[in-house]
Amino acid sequence: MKRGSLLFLIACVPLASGCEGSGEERGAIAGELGQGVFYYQCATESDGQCDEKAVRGEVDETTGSFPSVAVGGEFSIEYVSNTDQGANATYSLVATSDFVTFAETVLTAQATGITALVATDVNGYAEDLAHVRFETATKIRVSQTETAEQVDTGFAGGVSANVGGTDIEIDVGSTLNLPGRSFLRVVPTTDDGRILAGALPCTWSTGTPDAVRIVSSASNNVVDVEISGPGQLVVKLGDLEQTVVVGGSTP
Amino acid sequence: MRTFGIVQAAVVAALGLAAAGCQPEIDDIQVVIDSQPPGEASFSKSEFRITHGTAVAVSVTGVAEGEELESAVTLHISAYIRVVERVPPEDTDTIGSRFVLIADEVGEGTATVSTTDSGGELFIPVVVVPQAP
Repeated sequence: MKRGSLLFLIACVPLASGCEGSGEERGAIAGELGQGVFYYQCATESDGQCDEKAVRGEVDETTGSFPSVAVGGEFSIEYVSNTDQGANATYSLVATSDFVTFAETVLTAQATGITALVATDVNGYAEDLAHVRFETATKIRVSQTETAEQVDTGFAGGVSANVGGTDIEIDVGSTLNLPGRSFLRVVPTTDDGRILAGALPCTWSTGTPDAVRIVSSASNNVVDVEISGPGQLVVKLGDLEQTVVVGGSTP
Repeated sequence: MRTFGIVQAAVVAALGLAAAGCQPEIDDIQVVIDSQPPGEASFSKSEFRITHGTAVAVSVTGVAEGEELESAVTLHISAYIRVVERVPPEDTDTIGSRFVLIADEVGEGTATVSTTDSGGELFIPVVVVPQAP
């Protein structure tokens, strides 16, 4: 019989995990038993939910929950105990493998639904728990953005607007007269336009390298491109793909 | 001295009950749900029901002849639900043994509930239901 259990050691000793700051400074959700807090962390550079690399994502203010994570998306969760005996302790996460799998500190959403994450101490006792929702990305959204760096204001889960009002969504099939040097961002969304968290495999490519040059990492969900003529950019995020047609205005 | 007398009386009473075959047998349970799971979760003597993938924290107290048993509850579930004991409370007055139940797989099984100082066991059907679409 398949055993739906996995044990995942998360390094919540601050020095070991690179944890920074205090709980009050960061978006987090309280554990359902009030014994600690759970933090969403970006697993890789291509998580559309994270404003900087490998920092914590925002909590959905409308629900008080973590943002929904795209099925197939990678993410991390950090648990910090509020209890006296839990200070500086190391905790493990336990969950159901039907919904989430673990590879060291990285979790991968496996199926649509809600899953519990239970924080257990070194003795195997459960201290607190939280639930995370996984949803299938049905669309991807490509936007022109201001900078290669993620902007200061992170994506708030469930909010359909683009980041900080600075991104301009690019319609599918439209031709853009992008400036010579542009930054594009791709994020996974639901049918109703909610941006999903979780890092999906991301690849930018171009069939017209003479006209469109990818300057930055092609695996980041934000890409720096230099456009010198009419061409195409293709972005694949998870199983979804979109082509951006550029008109190539004069740099 | 007074404490010693009380302990003596308790021991004598327990021995007397045992000798007379009157050890209380667990015949019911009280389950307090300590967290609010996002899916269906209900617990009674007749059935444990929980939603696949979710977890719920509970405090379980054995009952014999209408009286709460103060002894610790042992909970074993053969499959489908994983039982994780919770961090022991600092408040020693807390009654009820505390667990987090994780619904690992959809299916039907059986929970066995007993207490450390009472006789008998309860066998309770367990159902893990799929998540609503």
